[in-house]
Amino acid sequence: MDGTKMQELRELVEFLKANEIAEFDMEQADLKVRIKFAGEPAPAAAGIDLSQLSRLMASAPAAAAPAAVAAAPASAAPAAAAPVEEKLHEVKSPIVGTFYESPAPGAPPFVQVGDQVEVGQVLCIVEAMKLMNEIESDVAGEVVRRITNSGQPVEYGQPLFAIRAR
Amino acid sequence: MAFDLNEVDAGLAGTIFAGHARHLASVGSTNTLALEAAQAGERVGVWIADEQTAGRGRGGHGWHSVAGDGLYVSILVAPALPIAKALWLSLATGLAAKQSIREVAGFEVDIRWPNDLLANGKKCGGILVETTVAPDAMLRYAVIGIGINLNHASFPDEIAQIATSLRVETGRGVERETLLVMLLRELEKELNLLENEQGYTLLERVSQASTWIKGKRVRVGEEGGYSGTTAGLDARGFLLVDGDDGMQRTVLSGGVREAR
Repeated sequence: MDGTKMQELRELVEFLKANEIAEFDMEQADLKVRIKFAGEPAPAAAGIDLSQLSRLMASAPAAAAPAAVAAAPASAAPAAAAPVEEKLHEVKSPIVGTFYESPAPGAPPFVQVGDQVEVGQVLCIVEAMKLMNEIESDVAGEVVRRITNSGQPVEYGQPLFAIRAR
Repeated sequence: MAFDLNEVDAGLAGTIFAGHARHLASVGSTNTLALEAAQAGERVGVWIADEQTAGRGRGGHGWHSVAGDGLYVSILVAPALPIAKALWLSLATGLAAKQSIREVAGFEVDIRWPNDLLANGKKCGGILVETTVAPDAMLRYAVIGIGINLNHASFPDEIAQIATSLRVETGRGVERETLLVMLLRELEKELNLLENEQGYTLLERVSQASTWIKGKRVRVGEEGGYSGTTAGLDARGFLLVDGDDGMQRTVLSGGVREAR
């Protein structure tokens, strides 16, 4: 990976951090990037400047073209990239609403990545119309990913958690 | 005045709530009690408190609670509803509260979407619903928490501009027992309609009962905050707002305020 490319990746990481995005996947012909931030992201910022993101995205392929000749894509992939796609169970939102990771602001989250959960255990709340709807896990296993951030809107059917069933 | 549970029991005869009302002098939160009962397997119940020391509102907003002045009640129900329709419990409860206040106090409260109760522009009641759904997306149970300011003579300076009671607005107090019985009867009617009525009229009735649904200048806290004019409800019951920037948005959660 050349210097320009590394610089662009750094910019991308900074952008994702600044906007408190928990996870990011990008796949192009010769490059696959997966970035996942460990730890507890703060409640998300109000809005994301998408034009800024598309600028970063747009510059990537141009820079990647020469790199493709020199470097094998696999070796260029950061260590964070999952080499094999694991089949994980996704817990999805049954309604449109706002995602909350904890029962009240400032309270500890219902679950964290790495936790073992049981069937029926509350994972989060999705709120709509001042109705706080508890979302339960429908499998027992380990929470591998929390897919969205507290305070963010979620769509019907949107995955909220990935769980490695046991 | 001491709460008369016998009067409530008598008034609830023939309803699903008959024999299920419990009264407490002081409690952290009636919703918490109701949720605990639901987790223990109960599917209907009514918890009334003279005073709540940790009353819950959306986003952790506390609720001003003075012993005996207000009606603080949590209602556990389990209608057979898919979750998309269970959301309407929020709207249906607001309507039931408005209807019961009209019948008992002869006063028309306004409903600020989804279900704040306003008297002459100030808040006199709030509703918070907490639900759990089963994996088949059917409602398992709902706890409906309602707080209505009835007999407060005045409010502390810091909230006097935004909070009021029915007594402050009408000059007359309201007996808690009478209002509770009427509220539960109206709520039972709404629950029956929600479960059984074909061609359900709830959204239409909410639109008529509230001055906030159409043509109201509002400020919305979601999506970083924006101002606009309300433009009706969508098919799911969410509030539409025509933003001042020309874009129409859907309000998901509430937190709508009058734009000044």
